[in-house]
Amino acid sequence: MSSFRSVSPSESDTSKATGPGSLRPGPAEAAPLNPGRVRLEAAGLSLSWDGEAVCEDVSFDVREGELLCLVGKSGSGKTTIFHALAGLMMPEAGRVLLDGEDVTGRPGKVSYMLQKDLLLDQHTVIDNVSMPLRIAGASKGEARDAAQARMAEFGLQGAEKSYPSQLSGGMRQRAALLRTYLMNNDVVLMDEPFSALDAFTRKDMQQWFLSMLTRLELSSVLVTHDVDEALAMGDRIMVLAGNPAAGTPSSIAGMVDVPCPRESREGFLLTDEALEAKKQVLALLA
Amino acid sequence: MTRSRAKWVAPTLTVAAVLALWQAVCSFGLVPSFMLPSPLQVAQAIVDDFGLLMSHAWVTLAEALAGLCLGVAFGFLIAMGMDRFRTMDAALSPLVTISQTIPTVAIAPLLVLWLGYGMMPKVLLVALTTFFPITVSLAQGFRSVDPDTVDLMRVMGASWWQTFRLVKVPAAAGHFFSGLRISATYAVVGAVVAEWLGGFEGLGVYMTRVRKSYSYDQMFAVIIIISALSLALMGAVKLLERVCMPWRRAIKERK
Repeated sequence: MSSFRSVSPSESDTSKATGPGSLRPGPAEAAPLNPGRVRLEAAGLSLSWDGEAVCEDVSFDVREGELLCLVGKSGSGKTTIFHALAGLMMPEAGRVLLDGEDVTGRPGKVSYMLQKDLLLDQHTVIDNVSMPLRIAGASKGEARDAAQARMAEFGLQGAEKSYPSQLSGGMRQRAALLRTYLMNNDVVLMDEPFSALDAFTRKDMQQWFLSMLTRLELSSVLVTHDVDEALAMGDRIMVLAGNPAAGTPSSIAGMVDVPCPRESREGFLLTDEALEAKKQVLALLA
Repeated sequence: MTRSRAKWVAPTLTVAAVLALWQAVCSFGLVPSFMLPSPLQVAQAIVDDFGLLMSHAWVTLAEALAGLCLGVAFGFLIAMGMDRFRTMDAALSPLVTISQTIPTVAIAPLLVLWLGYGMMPKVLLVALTTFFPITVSLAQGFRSVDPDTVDLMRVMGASWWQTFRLVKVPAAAGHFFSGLRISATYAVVGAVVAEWLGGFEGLGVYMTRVRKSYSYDQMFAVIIIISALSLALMGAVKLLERVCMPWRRAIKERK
Protein backbone atom coordinates (compact mmCIF):
# COMPACT_ATOMS: atom_id res chain seq x y z
CA MET A 1 0.00 0.00 0.00
CA SER A 2 3.05 2.22 0.02
CA SER A 3 2.30 2.97 -3.63
CA PHE A 4 -0.41 5.42 -2.58
CA ARG A 5 2.11 7.97 -1.44
CA SER A 6 4.23 7.95 -4.59
CA VAL A 7 2.22 10.75 -6.13
CA SER A 8 3.89 13.69 -7.77
CA PRO A 9 1.77 16.76 -8.37
CA SER A 10 1.44 17.57 -12.06
CA GLU A 11 1.97 20.97 -13.67
CA SER A 12 -1.72 21.48 -14.10
CA ASP A 13 -2.20 21.12 -10.37
CA THR A 14 -0.39 24.38 -9.74
CA SER A 15 -2.26 26.23 -12.46
CA LYS A 16 -5.45 24.87 -11.02
CA ALA A 17 -4.68 26.08 -7.54
CA THR A 18 -4.05 29.62 -8.71
CA GLY A 19 -6.31 29.95 -11.77
CA PRO A 20 -10.07 30.21 -11.91
CA GLY A 21 -10.25 26.46 -11.38
CA SER A 22 -9.03 26.54 -7.81
CA LEU A 23 -12.28 24.98 -6.66
CA ARG A 24 -10.37 21.96 -5.45
CA PRO A 25 -7.04 22.22 -3.64
CA GLY A 26 -4.22 20.49 -5.49
CA PRO A 27 -2.67 17.43 -3.82
CA ALA A 28 0.44 19.54 -3.14
CA GLU A 29 -1.27 21.45 -0.35
CA ALA A 30 -3.24 18.47 0.97
CA ALA A 31 -1.95 16.30 3.81
CA PRO A 32 -0.22 13.05 2.76
CA LEU A 33 -2.48 10.05 2.35
CA ASN A 34 -3.15 8.00 5.42
CA PRO A 35 -4.13 4.47 4.30
CA GLY A 36 -5.36 3.69 7.78
CA ARG A 37 -7.96 6.47 7.81
CA VAL A 38 -11.57 5.56 7.08
CA ARG A 39 -13.18 7.93 4.57
CA LEU A 40 -16.54 6.37 3.73
CA GLU A 41 -18.40 3.99 5.98
CA ALA A 42 -21.55 1.97 5.45
CA ALA A 43 -22.96 1.13 8.87
CA GLY A 44 -25.56 -1.64 8.96
CA LEU A 45 -27.31 -0.70 5.70
CA SER A 46 -30.57 -2.47 4.96
CA LEU A 47 -32.05 -1.49 1.63
CA SER A 48 -35.18 -2.29 -0.25
CA TRP A 49 -36.37 -1.46 -3.70
CA ASP A 50 -40.02 -1.51 -4.72
CA GLY A 51 -40.94 -3.22 -1.47
CA GLU A 52 -38.41 -6.00 -2.00
CA ALA A 53 -35.58 -6.33 0.50
CA VAL A 54 -32.36 -6.07 -1.49
CA CYS A 55 -29.72 -6.35 1.20
CA GLU A 56 -29.49 -6.60 4.95
CA ASP A 57 -27.00 -5.29 7.45
CA VAL A 58 -24.27 -4.33 5.01
CA SER A 59 -21.30 -2.75 6.77
CA PHE A 60 -17.90 -1.89 5.34
CA ASP A 61 -15.48 0.98 5.13
CA VAL A 62 -13.43 2.61 2.43
CA ARG A 63 -9.99 3.73 3.50
CA GLU A 64 -8.09 6.71 2.24
CA GLY A 65 -6.56 6.15 -1.20
CA GLU A 66 -7.73 2.57 -1.59
CA LEU A 67 -9.77 0.97 -4.33
CA LEU A 68 -12.34 -1.38 -2.87
CA CYS A 69 -13.99 -3.69 -5.38
CA LEU A 70 -17.54 -4.81 -4.81
CA VAL A 71 -18.16 -8.10 -6.58
CA GLY A 72 -21.46 -9.90 -6.88
CA LYS A 73 -23.69 -11.65 -9.37
CA SER A 74 -26.12 -9.58 -11.39
CA GLY A 75 -29.23 -8.77 -9.42
CA SER A 76 -27.43 -9.05 -6.09
CA GLY A 77 -28.01 -5.36 -5.33
CA LYS A 78 -24.63 -3.76 -6.07
CA THR A 79 -26.17 -0.77 -7.82
CA THR A 80 -28.75 -0.32 -5.05
CA ILE A 81 -25.96 -0.16 -2.47
CA PHE A 82 -24.27 2.51 -4.63
CA HIS A 83 -27.50 4.51 -4.81
CA ALA A 84 -27.62 4.49 -1.03
CA LEU A 85 -23.95 5.46 -0.68
CA ALA A 86 -24.48 8.32 -3.15
CA GLY A 87 -27.43 9.58 -1.11
CA LEU A 88 -29.97 8.92 -3.86
CA MET A 89 -32.12 6.73 -1.64
CA MET A 90 -32.90 6.33 2.04
CA PRO A 91 -32.01 3.01 3.67
CA GLU A 92 -34.57 1.07 5.72
CA ALA A 93 -31.93 0.94 8.42
CA GLY A 94 -28.33 1.97 8.86
CA ARG A 95 -26.28 5.03 7.97
CA VAL A 96 -23.72 6.27 5.51
CA LEU A 97 -20.84 8.19 7.04
CA LEU A 98 -18.31 10.35 5.22
CA ASP A 99 -15.34 11.22 7.40
CA GLY A 100 -17.56 10.45 10.36
CA GLU A 101 -20.34 12.82 9.24
CA ASP A 102 -23.77 11.37 8.57
CA VAL A 103 -24.54 11.84 4.84
CA THR A 104 -27.39 9.36 4.57
CA GLY A 105 -29.81 10.45 1.86
CA ARG A 106 -27.75 13.54 0.98
CA PRO A 107 -26.60 13.51 -2.64
CA GLY A 108 -23.58 15.54 -3.73
CA LYS A 109 -21.22 14.42 -0.95
CA VAL A 110 -19.77 11.42 -2.74
CA SER A 111 -18.97 11.32 -6.46
CA TYR A 112 -20.75 8.63 -8.41
CA MET A 113 -19.99 7.36 -11.87
CA LEU A 114 -23.03 5.51 -13.10
CA GLN A 115 -23.03 2.39 -15.23
CA LYS A 116 -23.52 4.25 -18.48
CA ASP A 117 -21.19 7.18 -19.17
CA LEU A 118 -24.29 9.42 -19.42
CA LEU A 119 -22.54 12.14 -21.38
CA LEU A 120 -25.14 14.57 -22.65
CA ASP A 121 -25.35 14.45 -26.45
CA GLN A 122 -26.42 18.08 -26.67
CA HIS A 123 -23.36 19.50 -24.92
CA THR A 124 -19.77 19.58 -26.16
CA VAL A 125 -17.18 17.49 -24.36
CA ILE A 126 -15.80 20.47 -22.45
CA ASP A 127 -19.29 21.47 -21.33
CA ASN A 128 -20.04 17.90 -20.32
CA VAL A 129 -16.98 17.48 -18.15
CA SER A 130 -17.31 20.93 -16.61
CA MET A 131 -20.99 20.37 -15.75
CA PRO A 132 -20.31 19.76 -12.01
CA LEU A 133 -18.54 23.13 -11.77
CA ARG A 134 -21.43 24.94 -13.43
CA ILE A 135 -23.86 23.28 -11.06
CA ALA A 136 -21.67 24.40 -8.18
CA GLY A 137 -22.16 27.97 -9.34
CA ALA A 138 -19.27 28.72 -11.71
CA SER A 139 -20.01 30.63 -14.91
CA LYS A 140 -19.77 28.81 -18.21
CA GLY A 141 -16.39 30.43 -18.93
CA GLU A 142 -14.90 29.71 -15.50
CA ALA A 143 -16.10 26.12 -15.62
CA ARG A 144 -14.62 25.63 -19.09
CA ASP A 145 -11.27 27.12 -18.06
CA ALA A 146 -11.04 24.92 -14.99
CA ALA A 147 -11.90 21.79 -16.96
CA GLN A 148 -9.54 22.80 -19.76
CA ALA A 149 -6.61 22.70 -17.33
CA ARG A 150 -7.32 19.00 -16.83
CA MET A 151 -8.15 17.90 -20.37
CA ALA A 152 -4.61 16.88 -21.39
CA GLU A 153 -4.05 14.98 -18.16
CA PHE A 154 -7.12 12.88 -18.98
CA GLY A 155 -6.07 12.36 -22.60
CA LEU A 156 -8.86 14.53 -23.93
CA GLN A 157 -6.89 17.36 -25.54
CA GLY A 158 -8.33 18.36 -28.90
CA ALA A 159 -11.74 16.90 -28.11
CA GLU A 160 -13.06 19.98 -26.29
CA LYS A 161 -15.45 21.14 -28.98
CA SER A 162 -16.48 17.67 -30.14
CA TYR A 163 -19.80 16.19 -29.18
CA PRO A 164 -19.91 12.91 -27.23
CA SER A 165 -21.34 11.09 -30.26
CA GLN A 166 -18.05 11.76 -32.04
CA LEU A 167 -15.90 10.07 -29.38
CA SER A 168 -14.77 6.46 -29.08
CA GLY A 169 -15.94 4.38 -26.13
CA GLY A 170 -12.59 4.80 -24.35
CA MET A 171 -12.61 8.58 -24.80
CA ARG A 172 -16.17 8.78 -23.50
CA GLN A 173 -15.09 6.90 -20.38
CA ARG A 174 -12.15 9.25 -19.88
CA ALA A 175 -14.51 12.20 -20.16
CA ALA A 176 -16.88 10.59 -17.67
CA LEU A 177 -13.99 10.11 -15.22
CA LEU A 178 -12.90 13.73 -15.59
CA ARG A 179 -16.46 14.87 -14.96
CA THR A 180 -16.60 12.62 -11.89
CA TYR A 181 -13.30 14.05 -10.68
CA LEU A 182 -14.57 17.61 -11.09
CA MET A 183 -17.48 16.78 -8.80
CA ASN A 184 -14.89 17.76 -6.28
CA ASN A 185 -15.18 14.91 -3.79
CA ASP A 186 -12.29 12.61 -3.24
CA VAL A 187 -14.45 9.60 -2.54
CA VAL A 188 -15.65 8.12 -5.82
CA LEU A 189 -18.10 5.34 -6.62
CA MET A 190 -17.79 3.63 -9.99
CA ASP A 191 -20.48 1.26 -11.23
CA GLU A 192 -19.05 -1.06 -13.91
CA PRO A 193 -17.45 1.78 -15.83
CA PHE A 194 -16.04 -0.53 -18.49
CA SER A 195 -19.09 -2.64 -19.26
CA ALA A 196 -19.72 -0.96 -22.61
CA LEU A 197 -16.13 -1.31 -23.87
CA ASP A 198 -14.60 -4.01 -26.04
CA ALA A 199 -12.11 -6.39 -24.41
CA PHE A 200 -8.93 -4.61 -25.58
CA THR A 201 -10.06 -1.10 -24.72
CA ARG A 202 -11.23 -2.48 -21.43
CA LYS A 203 -7.78 -3.77 -20.47
CA ASP A 204 -6.20 -0.42 -21.36
CA MET A 205 -8.84 1.51 -19.48
CA GLN A 206 -8.43 -0.60 -16.35
CA GLN A 207 -4.73 0.23 -16.29
CA TRP A 208 -5.36 3.87 -17.08
CA PHE A 209 -8.08 4.26 -14.45
CA LEU A 210 -5.88 2.68 -11.84
CA SER A 211 -3.01 5.06 -12.60
CA MET A 212 -5.37 8.05 -12.54
CA LEU A 213 -6.97 7.03 -9.25
CA THR A 214 -3.49 6.70 -7.73
CA ARG A 215 -2.32 9.99 -9.16
CA LEU A 216 -5.41 11.93 -8.08
CA GLU A 217 -5.34 10.32 -4.62
CA LEU A 218 -8.96 9.24 -4.82
CA SER A 219 -10.54 6.76 -2.45
CA SER A 220 -12.90 4.63 -4.47
CA VAL A 221 -15.33 1.77 -4.68
CA LEU A 222 -15.67 -0.12 -7.95
CA VAL A 223 -18.63 -2.36 -8.69
CA THR A 224 -17.96 -5.20 -11.10
CA HIS A 225 -19.19 -8.70 -11.83
CA ASP A 226 -15.86 -9.60 -13.39
CA VAL A 227 -13.54 -11.20 -10.85
CA ASP A 228 -10.49 -10.69 -13.09
CA GLU A 229 -11.25 -6.98 -13.28
CA ALA A 230 -11.47 -6.83 -9.50
CA LEU A 231 -8.11 -8.60 -9.20
CA ALA A 232 -6.52 -6.34 -11.81
CA MET A 233 -7.62 -3.16 -10.08
CA GLY A 234 -8.71 -3.61 -6.46
CA ASP A 235 -6.77 -3.36 -3.23
CA ARG A 236 -9.47 -5.32 -1.46
CA ILE A 237 -12.35 -7.31 -2.89
CA MET A 238 -15.67 -7.42 -1.08
CA VAL A 239 -18.04 -10.19 -2.10
CA LEU A 240 -21.77 -9.66 -2.03
CA ALA A 241 -23.90 -12.81 -2.05
CA GLY A 242 -27.62 -13.42 -2.10
CA ASN A 243 -30.56 -13.43 -4.47
CA PRO A 244 -33.09 -10.72 -3.58
CA ALA A 245 -35.43 -11.69 -6.42
CA ALA A 246 -35.81 -15.14 -4.85
CA GLY A 247 -36.42 -13.70 -1.39
CA THR A 248 -32.88 -13.94 -0.01
CA PRO A 249 -31.57 -10.42 0.63
CA SER A 250 -27.88 -10.03 -0.09
CA SER A 251 -25.23 -9.67 2.55
CA ILE A 252 -21.47 -9.45 2.58
CA ALA A 253 -20.01 -12.92 2.21
CA GLY A 254 -16.45 -11.89 2.88
CA MET A 255 -13.44 -9.74 2.06
CA VAL A 256 -10.32 -10.79 0.13
CA ASP A 257 -7.07 -8.81 0.12
CA VAL A 258 -5.27 -8.51 -3.21
CA PRO A 259 -1.64 -9.36 -2.43
CA CYS A 260 -0.01 -7.09 -4.97
CA PRO A 261 1.05 -3.42 -4.96
CA ARG A 262 -0.54 -1.22 -7.63
CA GLU A 263 2.59 -0.51 -9.63
CA SER A 264 3.19 -4.19 -10.39
CA ARG A 265 -0.34 -5.11 -11.43
CA GLU A 266 0.60 -5.85 -15.02
CA GLY A 267 1.03 -9.59 -15.32
CA PHE A 268 -0.26 -10.16 -11.78
CA LEU A 269 -3.29 -12.06 -13.06
CA LEU A 270 -1.02 -14.84 -14.30
CA THR A 271 0.65 -15.46 -10.92
CA ASP A 272 -0.20 -18.13 -8.36
CA GLU A 273 -1.17 -15.51 -5.78
CA ALA A 274 -3.77 -14.13 -8.17
CA LEU A 275 -5.14 -17.59 -8.79
CA GLU A 276 -5.32 -18.20 -5.05
CA ALA A 277 -7.17 -14.92 -4.48
CA LYS A 278 -9.52 -15.68 -7.35
CA LYS A 279 -10.34 -19.07 -5.81
CA GLN A 280 -11.22 -17.37 -2.54
CA VAL A 281 -13.51 -14.87 -4.26
CA LEU A 282 -15.24 -17.55 -6.33
CA ALA A 283 -15.75 -19.66 -3.21
CA LEU A 284 -17.42 -16.70 -1.48
CA LEU A 285 -19.62 -16.04 -4.51
CA ALA A 286 -20.89 -19.62 -4.72
CA MET B 1 -23.59 13.86 -56.22
CA THR B 2 -26.13 12.01 -58.36
CA ARG B 3 -28.18 11.23 -55.28
CA SER B 4 -28.36 14.84 -54.18
CA ARG B 5 -29.34 15.84 -57.72
CA ALA B 6 -32.13 13.23 -57.80
CA LYS B 7 -33.37 14.80 -54.57
CA TRP B 8 -34.52 17.97 -56.30
CA VAL B 9 -34.89 16.87 -59.93
CA ALA B 10 -37.71 14.40 -59.19
CA PRO B 11 -39.99 16.77 -57.22
CA THR B 12 -39.41 19.62 -59.70
CA LEU B 13 -40.47 17.37 -62.56
CA THR B 14 -43.59 16.25 -60.67
CA VAL B 15 -44.69 19.82 -60.00
CA ALA B 16 -43.98 20.81 -63.59
CA ALA B 17 -46.00 17.85 -64.86
CA VAL B 18 -49.00 18.72 -62.68
CA LEU B 19 -48.88 22.37 -63.82
CA ALA B 20 -48.64 21.28 -67.47
CA LEU B 21 -51.60 18.94 -67.10
CA TRP B 22 -53.62 21.65 -65.38
CA GLN B 23 -52.76 24.15 -68.15
CA ALA B 24 -53.70 21.59 -70.81
CA VAL B 25 -57.08 20.86 -69.20
CA CYS B 26 -57.89 24.60 -69.24
CA SER B 27 -56.40 25.37 -72.68
CA PHE B 28 -58.34 22.58 -74.38
CA GLY B 29 -61.54 23.83 -72.76
CA LEU B 30 -62.25 20.65 -70.78
CA VAL B 31 -63.21 22.83 -67.80
CA PRO B 32 -64.68 26.33 -68.29
CA SER B 33 -62.29 29.05 -67.13
CA PHE B 34 -64.75 30.65 -64.68
CA MET B 35 -64.73 27.39 -62.72
CA LEU B 36 -61.02 26.63 -62.90
CA PRO B 37 -58.54 29.31 -63.97
CA SER B 38 -55.42 28.11 -65.75
CA PRO B 39 -52.00 28.37 -64.07
CA LEU B 40 -51.09 31.19 -66.47
CA GLN B 41 -54.20 33.15 -65.45
CA VAL B 42 -53.34 32.62 -61.78
CA ALA B 43 -49.79 33.78 -62.38
CA GLN B 44 -51.14 36.83 -64.18
CA ALA B 45 -53.45 37.55 -61.20
CA ILE B 46 -50.50 37.33 -58.79
CA VAL B 47 -48.47 39.74 -60.92
CA ASP B 48 -51.39 42.19 -61.34
CA ASP B 49 -52.35 42.32 -57.64
CA PHE B 50 -48.89 41.79 -56.21
CA GLY B 51 -48.81 45.00 -54.17
CA LEU B 52 -52.23 44.42 -52.70
CA LEU B 53 -51.50 40.76 -51.96
CA MET B 54 -48.28 41.66 -50.17
CA SER B 55 -49.91 44.30 -47.98
CA HIS B 56 -52.51 41.75 -46.88
CA ALA B 57 -49.88 39.04 -46.52
CA TRP B 58 -47.90 41.17 -44.05
CA VAL B 59 -50.92 41.48 -41.79
CA THR B 60 -51.56 37.75 -41.88
CA LEU B 61 -47.89 36.97 -41.29
CA ALA B 62 -47.76 39.34 -38.31
CA GLU B 63 -50.84 37.70 -36.77
CA ALA B 64 -49.44 34.22 -37.43
CA LEU B 65 -46.06 35.06 -35.89
CA ALA B 66 -47.50 36.81 -32.84
CA GLY B 67 -49.92 33.94 -32.27
CA LEU B 68 -47.18 31.37 -32.76
CA CYS B 69 -44.92 33.10 -30.23
CA LEU B 70 -47.75 33.26 -27.73
CA GLY B 71 -48.62 29.60 -28.38
CA VAL B 72 -44.98 28.54 -27.93
CA ALA B 73 -44.63 30.50 -24.68
CA PHE B 74 -47.89 29.10 -23.34
CA GLY B 75 -47.05 25.55 -24.48
CA PHE B 76 -43.60 25.75 -22.91
CA LEU B 77 -44.99 26.91 -19.55
CA ILE B 78 -47.62 24.17 -19.48
CA ALA B 79 -45.14 21.45 -20.48
CA MET B 80 -42.69 22.71 -17.86
CA GLY B 81 -45.37 22.65 -15.18
CA MET B 82 -46.43 19.18 -16.22
CA ASP B 83 -42.83 18.02 -15.89
CA ARG B 84 -42.36 19.65 -12.50
CA PHE B 85 -45.61 18.61 -10.84
CA ARG B 86 -47.13 15.22 -11.43
CA THR B 87 -50.57 16.40 -10.31
CA MET B 88 -50.45 19.19 -12.86
CA ASP B 89 -49.65 16.62 -15.53
CA ALA B 90 -52.64 14.51 -14.51
CA ALA B 91 -54.94 17.52 -14.21
CA LEU B 92 -54.01 19.23 -17.45
CA SER B 93 -53.43 16.35 -19.87
CA PRO B 94 -57.14 15.79 -20.67
CA LEU B 95 -57.79 19.53 -20.89
CA VAL B 96 -54.96 20.04 -23.34
CA THR B 97 -56.28 17.23 -25.51
CA ILE B 98 -59.88 18.45 -25.33
CA SER B 99 -58.80 21.94 -26.33
CA GLN B 100 -57.59 20.44 -29.57
CA THR B 101 -60.89 18.75 -30.41
CA ILE B 102 -62.74 22.08 -30.44
CA PRO B 103 -63.04 23.08 -34.10
CA THR B 104 -61.23 26.33 -34.88
CA VAL B 105 -63.98 27.50 -37.20
CA ALA B 106 -66.50 27.19 -34.37
CA ILE B 107 -64.52 29.14 -31.81
CA ALA B 108 -63.36 31.92 -34.15
CA PRO B 109 -66.75 33.76 -34.27
CA LEU B 110 -66.86 33.71 -30.46
CA LEU B 111 -63.42 35.26 -30.24
CA VAL B 112 -64.49 37.92 -32.73
CA LEU B 113 -67.60 38.57 -30.67
CA TRP B 114 -65.59 38.92 -27.46
CA LEU B 115 -62.58 40.77 -28.78
CA GLY B 116 -63.79 42.69 -31.82
CA TYR B 117 -62.47 42.94 -35.35
CA GLY B 118 -58.89 43.88 -34.53
CA MET B 119 -55.77 41.72 -34.43
CA MET B 120 -56.38 40.30 -30.97
CA PRO B 121 -58.90 37.54 -31.79
CA LYS B 122 -56.72 36.36 -34.70
CA VAL B 123 -53.58 36.19 -32.59
CA LEU B 124 -55.46 34.34 -29.88
CA LEU B 125 -56.92 31.81 -32.29
CA VAL B 126 -53.49 31.13 -33.74
CA ALA B 127 -52.10 30.72 -30.21
CA LEU B 128 -54.90 28.29 -29.37
CA THR B 129 -54.25 26.14 -32.43
CA THR B 130 -50.47 26.17 -32.13
CA PHE B 131 -49.87 25.56 -28.42
CA PHE B 132 -51.07 21.96 -28.55
CA PRO B 133 -48.36 20.45 -30.78
CA ILE B 134 -45.79 22.42 -28.79
CA THR B 135 -47.06 21.24 -25.40
CA VAL B 136 -47.31 17.61 -26.46
CA SER B 137 -43.92 17.48 -28.14
CA LEU B 138 -42.16 19.31 -25.32
CA ALA B 139 -43.76 17.15 -22.61
CA GLN B 140 -42.65 14.07 -24.53
CA GLY B 141 -39.16 15.51 -24.91
CA PHE B 142 -38.84 16.22 -21.18
CA ARG B 143 -40.01 12.70 -20.42
CA SER B 144 -37.47 11.21 -22.84
CA VAL B 145 -34.60 12.05 -20.47
CA ASP B 146 -32.98 8.94 -18.97
CA PRO B 147 -33.83 8.79 -15.23
CA ASP B 148 -30.20 7.82 -14.63
CA THR B 149 -29.16 11.18 -16.04
CA VAL B 150 -31.46 12.89 -13.57
CA ASP B 151 -29.83 10.82 -10.80
CA LEU B 152 -26.41 11.87 -12.06
CA MET B 153 -27.45 15.52 -11.88
CA ARG B 154 -28.63 14.97 -8.30
CA VAL B 155 -25.28 13.40 -7.43
CA MET B 156 -23.66 16.55 -8.77
CA GLY B 157 -25.90 18.52 -6.44
CA ALA B 158 -28.08 20.03 -9.17
CA SER B 159 -31.37 21.74 -8.31
CA TRP B 160 -34.56 20.96 -10.22
CA TRP B 161 -34.11 24.10 -12.28
CA GLN B 162 -30.49 23.27 -13.16
CA THR B 163 -31.48 19.78 -14.28
CA PHE B 164 -34.33 21.25 -16.29
CA ARG B 165 -32.22 23.89 -17.97
CA LEU B 166 -29.04 21.88 -18.59
CA VAL B 167 -30.51 18.47 -19.36
CA LYS B 168 -34.22 18.51 -20.10
CA VAL B 169 -34.50 21.56 -22.32
CA PRO B 170 -31.62 20.53 -24.62
CA ALA B 171 -32.88 16.94 -24.70
CA ALA B 172 -36.35 18.14 -25.74
CA ALA B 173 -35.06 20.42 -28.51
CA GLY B 174 -35.55 17.83 -31.24
CA HIS B 175 -39.12 17.12 -30.13
CA PHE B 176 -39.80 20.83 -29.80
CA PHE B 177 -38.79 21.61 -33.36
CA SER B 178 -40.89 18.83 -34.87
CA GLY B 179 -43.83 20.29 -32.92
CA LEU B 180 -42.92 23.79 -34.04
CA ARG B 181 -42.86 22.73 -37.71
CA ILE B 182 -46.44 21.50 -37.40
CA SER B 183 -47.48 24.59 -35.44
CA ALA B 184 -45.93 26.90 -38.05
CA THR B 185 -48.23 25.52 -40.75
CA TYR B 186 -51.24 25.75 -38.42
CA ALA B 187 -50.35 29.36 -37.67
CA VAL B 188 -50.89 30.81 -41.15
CA VAL B 189 -54.03 28.75 -41.77
CA GLY B 190 -55.36 29.70 -38.33
CA ALA B 191 -54.83 33.38 -39.01
CA VAL B 192 -56.62 33.13 -42.38
CA VAL B 193 -59.58 31.28 -40.85
CA ALA B 194 -59.90 33.94 -38.16
CA GLU B 195 -59.83 36.67 -40.80
CA TRP B 196 -62.68 35.05 -42.72
CA LEU B 197 -64.98 35.79 -39.86
CA GLY B 198 -64.41 39.47 -39.67
CA GLY B 199 -61.73 42.08 -40.05
CA PHE B 200 -60.46 44.81 -42.30
CA GLU B 201 -57.22 43.44 -43.70
CA GLY B 202 -55.31 40.22 -44.15
CA LEU B 203 -55.31 37.45 -46.72
CA GLY B 204 -58.47 35.89 -45.25
CA VAL B 205 -60.38 39.16 -45.65
CA TYR B 206 -59.10 39.58 -49.19
CA MET B 207 -60.04 35.97 -49.96
CA THR B 208 -63.61 36.51 -48.82
CA ARG B 209 -63.82 39.60 -50.99
CA VAL B 210 -62.60 37.97 -54.21
CA ARG B 211 -64.74 34.90 -53.61
CA LYS B 212 -67.82 37.04 -53.37
CA SER B 213 -66.95 38.62 -56.74
CA TYR B 214 -66.37 35.16 -58.28
CA SER B 215 -62.85 36.07 -59.42
CA TYR B 216 -61.41 32.62 -59.05
CA ASP B 217 -58.06 33.49 -60.61
CA GLN B 218 -57.51 35.99 -57.79
CA MET B 219 -58.74 33.45 -55.28
CA PHE B 220 -56.15 30.92 -56.48
CA ALA B 221 -53.54 33.64 -56.27
CA VAL B 222 -54.33 34.09 -52.57
CA ILE B 223 -54.19 30.36 -52.00
CA ILE B 224 -50.74 30.25 -53.54
CA ILE B 225 -49.57 33.15 -51.38
CA ILE B 226 -50.90 31.38 -48.26
CA SER B 227 -49.03 28.21 -49.22
CA ALA B 228 -45.90 30.22 -49.87
CA LEU B 229 -46.18 31.86 -46.44
CA SER B 230 -46.57 28.49 -44.71
CA LEU B 231 -43.61 27.09 -46.61
CA ALA B 232 -41.50 30.13 -45.75
CA LEU B 233 -42.38 29.77 -42.09
CA MET B 234 -41.52 26.06 -42.15
CA GLY B 235 -38.22 26.93 -43.83
CA ALA B 236 -37.49 29.47 -41.12
CA VAL B 237 -38.17 26.84 -38.46
CA LYS B 238 -35.80 24.43 -40.20
CA LEU B 239 -33.11 27.11 -40.29
CA LEU B 240 -33.65 27.90 -36.61
CA GLU B 241 -33.42 24.20 -35.83
CA ARG B 242 -30.04 23.95 -37.55
CA VAL B 243 -28.72 26.94 -35.63
CA CYS B 244 -30.08 25.78 -32.27
CA MET B 245 -29.01 22.16 -32.50
CA PRO B 246 -25.33 22.06 -33.50
CA TRP B 247 -24.98 18.55 -32.06
CA ARG B 248 -27.28 17.21 -34.80
CA ARG B 249 -24.79 18.35 -37.41
CA ALA B 250 -21.98 16.69 -35.46
CA ILE B 251 -23.81 13.36 -35.52
CA LYS B 252 -24.45 13.65 -39.26
CA GLU B 253 -20.83 14.53 -39.97
CA ARG B 254 -19.71 11.43 -38.18
CA LYS B 255 -21.95 9.27 -40.33
